Amino acid sequence: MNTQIILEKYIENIIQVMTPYGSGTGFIVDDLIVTNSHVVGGLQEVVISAKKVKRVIANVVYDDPYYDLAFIKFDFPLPLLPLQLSQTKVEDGDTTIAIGHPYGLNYTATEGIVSRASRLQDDLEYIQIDAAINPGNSGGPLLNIAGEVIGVNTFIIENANNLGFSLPYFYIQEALDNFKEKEHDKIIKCPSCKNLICEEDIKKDYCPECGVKLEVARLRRKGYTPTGPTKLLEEILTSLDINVTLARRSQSSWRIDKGSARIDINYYENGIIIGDTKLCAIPSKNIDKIYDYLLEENSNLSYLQFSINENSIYLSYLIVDSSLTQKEGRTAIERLLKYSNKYDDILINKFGAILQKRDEED
Amino acid sequence: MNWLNFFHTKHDLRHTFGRGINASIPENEEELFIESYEAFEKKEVLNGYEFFFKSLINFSNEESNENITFTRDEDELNFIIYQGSAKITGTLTKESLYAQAVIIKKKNADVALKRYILERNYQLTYACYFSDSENIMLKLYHDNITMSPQKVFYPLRELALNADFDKEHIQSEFSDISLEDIEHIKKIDEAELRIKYKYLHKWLDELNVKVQSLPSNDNASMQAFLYLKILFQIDYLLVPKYKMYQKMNTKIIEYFSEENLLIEAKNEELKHYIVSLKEMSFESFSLNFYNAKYTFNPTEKTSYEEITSFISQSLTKIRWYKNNRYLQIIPTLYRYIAFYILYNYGLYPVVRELLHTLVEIQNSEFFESLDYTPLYDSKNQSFSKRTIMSRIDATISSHKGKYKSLEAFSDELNFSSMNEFSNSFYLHLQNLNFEDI
Repeated sequence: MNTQIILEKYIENIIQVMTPYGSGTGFIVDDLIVTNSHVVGGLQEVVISAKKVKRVIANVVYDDPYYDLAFIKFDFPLPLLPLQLSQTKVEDGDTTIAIGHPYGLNYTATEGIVSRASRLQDDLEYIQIDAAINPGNSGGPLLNIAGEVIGVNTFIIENANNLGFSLPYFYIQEALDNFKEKEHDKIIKCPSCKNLICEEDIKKDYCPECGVKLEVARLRRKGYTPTGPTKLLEEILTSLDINVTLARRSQSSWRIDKGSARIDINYYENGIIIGDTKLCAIPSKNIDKIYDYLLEENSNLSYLQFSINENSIYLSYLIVDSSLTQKEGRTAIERLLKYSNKYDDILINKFGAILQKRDEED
Repeated sequence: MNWLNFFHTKHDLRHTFGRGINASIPENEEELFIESYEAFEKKEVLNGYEFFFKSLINFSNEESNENITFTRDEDELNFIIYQGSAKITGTLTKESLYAQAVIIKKKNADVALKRYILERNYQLTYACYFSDSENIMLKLYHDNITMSPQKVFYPLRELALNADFDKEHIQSEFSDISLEDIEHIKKIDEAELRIKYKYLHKWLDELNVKVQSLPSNDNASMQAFLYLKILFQIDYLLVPKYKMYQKMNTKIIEYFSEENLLIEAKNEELKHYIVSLKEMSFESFSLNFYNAKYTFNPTEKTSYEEITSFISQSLTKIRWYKNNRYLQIIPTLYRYIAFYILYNYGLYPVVRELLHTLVEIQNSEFFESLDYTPLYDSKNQSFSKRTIMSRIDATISSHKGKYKSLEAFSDELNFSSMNEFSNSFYLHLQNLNFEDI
């Protein structure tokens, strides 16, 4: 099978995994999503999405920093064509396909070859590949030309060209078998004694078997806690009935879809908070009238303003972090949510503005 | 020796030089700012603003420039801020601040101008363009719930600087559209304009001679210094506005930001622009000047280390030219340093005053034509040594109240030639100590 056919055939198995710290890839094997431990960032909850699944919160049920593996439980129908773990030995020179979401570019398949079937790194074997994998590919599957999973793309050597490493399928199989044997939904694998520990048996983050401090246990217990202005922003969003875990794109950015409008809120390092909606694109006729309308509306709006960037019309709310208050912030963001969709409709229906194109999985 | 100047150390400037407020800030500026902060902390909002505005009033020759005026009663404070071509009017209550600047009549705006200001809205942080039935304006609204002088400074500064910048830009790009609310700007009298025009041509002629004097090859860097120095010189000494300033500023920005062009190609660009300046009629030239009050400086204050580092690098370059016997470029380089700093950096008032004195010495003839007592006689190559020393000492002592370790250096200057003088001046300027009281 060629790369494109493989991608199309198994695309429903490919999952985007998002945390406040970044995003990566995962893939479905049996009834679990397999990804890297570093992708889930030591959290119990992550946000996932797939070709036919909108953003949804899912639980990390297994976290294994030793293999850099994690399993996520999901609650949607299994793909019609499920991925299978390979049973065939990988050989040098085999053709491979890495699938992932590098730099947020969804469902990117990259073809390469096995440079070395077994490269020892510390005491683990990895498949060394020459496929160009990038941040965002982490946790994604490495497939052979039969479309079977031969590994999970785990790390690259930074500043080198095309030096990628995948954790081989047999480690994945072993981890899946051991996890299932435990019949428990909160398992951490101790990187020191390699025992599988039920989270509830962990006291003060120490491994009950070998006594080593379990960093993953500490992170899972602590969870993600926003602070300062991001905390206030999330409180404002929560007060507006927005699920902040789903809206959160990173520690300092949030996205909310409302009708045809999409509201992005970003908190920048210089202390400026910008909530803005890229509304429609300007039409090709009667443009002068739309400009007049936007300028007149700016007279009526408080907290919000219309502007144009490149060819799109924006409705924005800007504030400096130190000036953000619960009351005013709530009013402003509530208006942004309410008016974005309303103005998008007015501008499209009354002035012939053009609806924005959007990646369906974006 | 001018005995009158010997006793008269206070130097009164009757003209505007350079960009920004170009005037003295209140001696108690810091105290006013603290009082403003304390008033806001106590929720005495109008008092907080009053102290804040007072801290921004600037002075020329010890008289208020009235760049900010305000009236207040129990519940409201109304204010006007002047910033070049922009006049900001605003109202304050305990709850909120509203300010606006009228830019143009709405009916005069064409589609290109509307597009421009809507795109500007995307770039601005606090201020926003809008229109009512009559005008296009730039507005600012801010609630006073968590207000402090720091928080009000940047929004008002953005409003004022951008209203001024955009009015100048509109005048330059859309010259058939008249600006509104510019009654406060003052025309410059023709005699002064004639002097400016005369010196523009004099400098351009001198530039031509200088370029001819350079070695026939390997002279691109030297040409660049000559062209850039004259643009910085025109900016600081003649202070053009509108199209002339906008275009000159664009040329300078392009020169320093364009990395893919060879210096020779960039020099050609500057040369082409300089030729167009030479061809400008007096009538066209005159349209580019006015006097106005300013409240905010366009550049953020630069660290002193950055300035001393620039001086140090420049003096190293001068040494290279000296060692390689390119002596014809040396006087230009000494002038270039001062003009470059004045153009690019936000300066401590004391540094700005000292550099102005240096510029006045280096361009004595121009200042004499504006009726200032000359500090250097270029024919006899002699300095008004005592006046210069008194001026420098007066500048230093007037800032000693703020910086305890500032030391006068006038008696260590080398008056043997203009180059030596400039060199010793920069060396001492590098060593000023800005340790606070």
